[in-house]
Amino acid sequence: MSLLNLSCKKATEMVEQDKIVSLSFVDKMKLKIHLSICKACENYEKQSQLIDDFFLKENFASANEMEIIKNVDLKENILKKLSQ
Amino acid sequence: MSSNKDINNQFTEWVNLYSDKLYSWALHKTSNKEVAEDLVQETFLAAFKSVNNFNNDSQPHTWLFSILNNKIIDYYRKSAKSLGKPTENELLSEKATDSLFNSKGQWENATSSNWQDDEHLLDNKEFTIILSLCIGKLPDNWRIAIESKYQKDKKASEICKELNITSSNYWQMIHRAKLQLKICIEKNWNN
Repeated sequence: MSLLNLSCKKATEMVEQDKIVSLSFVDKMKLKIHLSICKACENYEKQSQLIDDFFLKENFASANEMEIIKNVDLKENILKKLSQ
Repeated sequence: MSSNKDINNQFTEWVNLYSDKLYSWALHKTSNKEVAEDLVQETFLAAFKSVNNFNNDSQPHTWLFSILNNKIIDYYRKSAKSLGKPTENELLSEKATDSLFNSKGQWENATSSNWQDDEHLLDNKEFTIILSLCIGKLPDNWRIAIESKYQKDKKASEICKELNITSSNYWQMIHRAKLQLKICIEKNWNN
């Protein structure tokens, strides 16, 4: 689908662009129309959002399951620095 | 926290409770003992300076971890600058993401995969493990670009400057990273 001269490749790129630097009004409209009639790009947009949500959840699950390595010297150094 | 003495006591407790855990995480993420030690030390010093920003309702270790993670991503970006020409992984991943679209930029296979529609996907451990593994397999530059995006208090312009890329390079990298994650998820996740 290349509605309004907007390819799917470009449309999905604009999804990411918009999250970083807001698109112009015209581009926003173009993208909105494209997403409203292109199922595959709409899927991409949702998947992109889900990946964002995953990162934003600050997922430290793997940190909790990790083997703890003790570092006594580091502990003492930090305490020394903090008391200065 | 009121007096300096209280703050000092509080920090002594936090260092005793959390420094090993923070250190293990930093070591896991950087594979470098000296770097990991520096990052953890900087984390506590930065926390100490900004203790007024700490909201007593939140968990101290969550707060400390978020400071440490910022520092880890800063470190990644600094080391990424010296990466130079694209790695093999980056070239392969570029090829893979290019092949999702035909020459007109239309989807090669309009995907029927609809994993995004599961509302509870991020609570599904199996899925988050796959997603984490897929993130770990991204080319270094792309992974750093995408991880930087979620860093708090960091402007896109600063990130681009540190990575020595233009802002359009930046969102193109994030676009590619997400496409590559999509490929990886669809290969490994059967819902």
